[in-house]
Parts: sequence; structure tokens; C-alpha cells
Amino acid sequence: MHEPQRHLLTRRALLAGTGLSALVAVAGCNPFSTAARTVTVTAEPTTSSQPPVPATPILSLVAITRLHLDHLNQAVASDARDREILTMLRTDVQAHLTALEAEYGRSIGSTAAPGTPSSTPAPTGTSSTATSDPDATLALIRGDAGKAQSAFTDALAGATRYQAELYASIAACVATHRMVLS
Amino acid sequence: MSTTRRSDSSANPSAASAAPTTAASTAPATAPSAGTGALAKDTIDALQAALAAEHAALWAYGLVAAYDPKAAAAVTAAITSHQNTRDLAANLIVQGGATPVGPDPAYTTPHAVTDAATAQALALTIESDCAAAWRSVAGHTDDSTLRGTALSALTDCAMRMVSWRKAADDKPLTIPFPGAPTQPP
Repeated sequence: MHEPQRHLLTRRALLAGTGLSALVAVAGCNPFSTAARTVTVTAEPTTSSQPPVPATPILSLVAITRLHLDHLNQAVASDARDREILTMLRTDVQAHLTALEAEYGRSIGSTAAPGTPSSTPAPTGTSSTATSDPDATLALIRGDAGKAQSAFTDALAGATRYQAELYASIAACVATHRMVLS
Repeated sequence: MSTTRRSDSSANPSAASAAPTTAASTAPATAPSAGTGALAKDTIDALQAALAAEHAALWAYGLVAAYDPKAAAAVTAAITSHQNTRDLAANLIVQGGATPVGPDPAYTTPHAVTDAATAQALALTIESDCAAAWRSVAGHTDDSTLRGTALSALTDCAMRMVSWRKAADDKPLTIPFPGAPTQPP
């Protein structure tokens, strides 16, 4: 008499367990997964005195300009044929970097962009992009100028009025770089 | 402006009335999209300055053409470009709710133009003045379309500045901040 009832309970438990497993699977949870899958980590308080870097579009412009300057430094070092013109362009781009870092500092109330030592020229001749082929060097610098022109043109839309003037001048300048390199 | 308007001349009494209309001064502080409605007064003022610079450029290029005939092709191209930019500026001002400033009958040049070299120096001054005016437009609006227009005009001026420096064998050919009154920061 009790035997069928015990069998029924076992079947119910089995069905319930299966349903629960299906629900868990559909919901995207895996009770058997490791804890490393979706863990939100709160960073431990750091002993460093550096504050977090605020997210601002000017940071990417600083990065683009630093890379451009790095390539120009390498080009000046490696391309004797076009050294005069490349040095002229480097002077401009160094001025851009200085102005951008100053503006970044102003925008966050600091004096220098974190991670971008003010006005420090990028290292010369150390990158794998350095080449002894003058034509390839010019192509690289032309490409950098094109990327910079696009980036500064795009940045105009969301810029403050002061930044808009600064970005417009830089975009126009790198356009002239493309012109003299063509 | 280095190529100054002769607005104090009695031959041009209308110059004093070239200021923006009062309708523009009542425009909202936040300007709508360029060409679609009233523009803020500071935007209109910057556009009027750019238009005045374009008028002066077109007048001054006549002098350049006369004293540097070898540069005829470059002068023709520059004049065409400045005519287009002048018309664009005038249209933006009208659509923005103001009356565009007109050209003066004559302008004062920063130095006497007597030969090709002084003509090329004047051409460089023209482009430098226009570049400064358009850079100012970019900094006197929050409208991205108008900023793009200003950048386009500024870039054209900057490229012609390089061409004129090259023709005059000036160094350096390029400058880091075309249109900037003083070099930032």
C-alpha cells in the first residue's frame, strides 16, 4: 500500500529536479561552473598615490599624438634623405602634444596627463616600426597624419569651445603635413 | 586684421552699418543646427568676421594677381575657393537671422605691394587672416556642422599658406597651430 506512494514521490522529486535544472540552464546560470565566470571585483585600496585616470576623449588624442611623435622621432633618426622635412613636422607634433597635455591637465584640474610625462620626447629608434626604407618611412608618417586628421576632426563635435579651436588648428596642421609629404 | 578695412573712409559710409542686426542679438544662447535657424550672437559675430576676412581676401588677391603673374594659376584657385567660402559664410549668416557684412571698396595692406615677393607676402597675410577668422568660428559655436564648415575653411587656408611659403622659399613651411593668434598652450 505504501510502496506506490513512495514511488510517486520519487518521480515528483525527479521531475522537479529536472525542471529546476532546465530553468537554471535557460537562465544562463551554471551551478557547476567555477566562480571565475562572472565575478565583479572591487579593487583593493592601492598604496599608490596616483588617482584614477578620468575617462575623457582628449586622452585618446594624446595617445595618437604621442605615437605620431614616436614615429617621427624614429623617422628623423633613420631617414637622412628627408630629415629636414621630418624634423619640421616633428616640431609641430611636439607642440601639439605639449598643448594637448596642458589642456588635459586643465580639464581635470591637474598640471600633467597621467602616464604622459609633459613634453618628454618619445624614445627614438627603438620600435619595430623603424625602417631604413625612406619611402616606407614617409608612408608611415603620412598614415599617422591621416589618422590624426580624422581623430581631431571627429573630436570637434564633443569638444568645448576652447578645445574646438585647438583641435581645429591641429587637424589643419596635420592636413598640411599630408600635403608636404605627398 | 592685417589687411584692414578702410571702414573709416568717407567713401564707404555703409561700413558702419555692417554690424549684426538686433534680431540676431536676441537669438537663444544655444544655437540650433547650422543653416536651420537663428544663431547665437557670438556665433554670428564670428561668422561676420570670417565673411569680412573673405571680402578682404578677394580684394587683396587682385593685387597679388597684378604683381605676381607667374602665380596666376594659384591665385585663380585661391580666388575661387575664397568666393565659395564667402558665399557660404553669407548664407550661414542670413539663415542665422542676420544681415551679412558687405565688402569695402578698398583695404589697407600691411605693406606696399610692389613685386612678386611682396605680393606673396600679402597672399600669406590674407590666408593667415582668414585662417584666424575661421578658427574663431569653430570656437564660437557648439554646432558640430558649423564647426566642420569652419574646419574645412581653416584647412584650406592652412594649405594655401604652405603653398605661399613654398613659393617664397620661407622656412618652416608648416606651423603647428594655423589660425591661432598666439601659439598655445
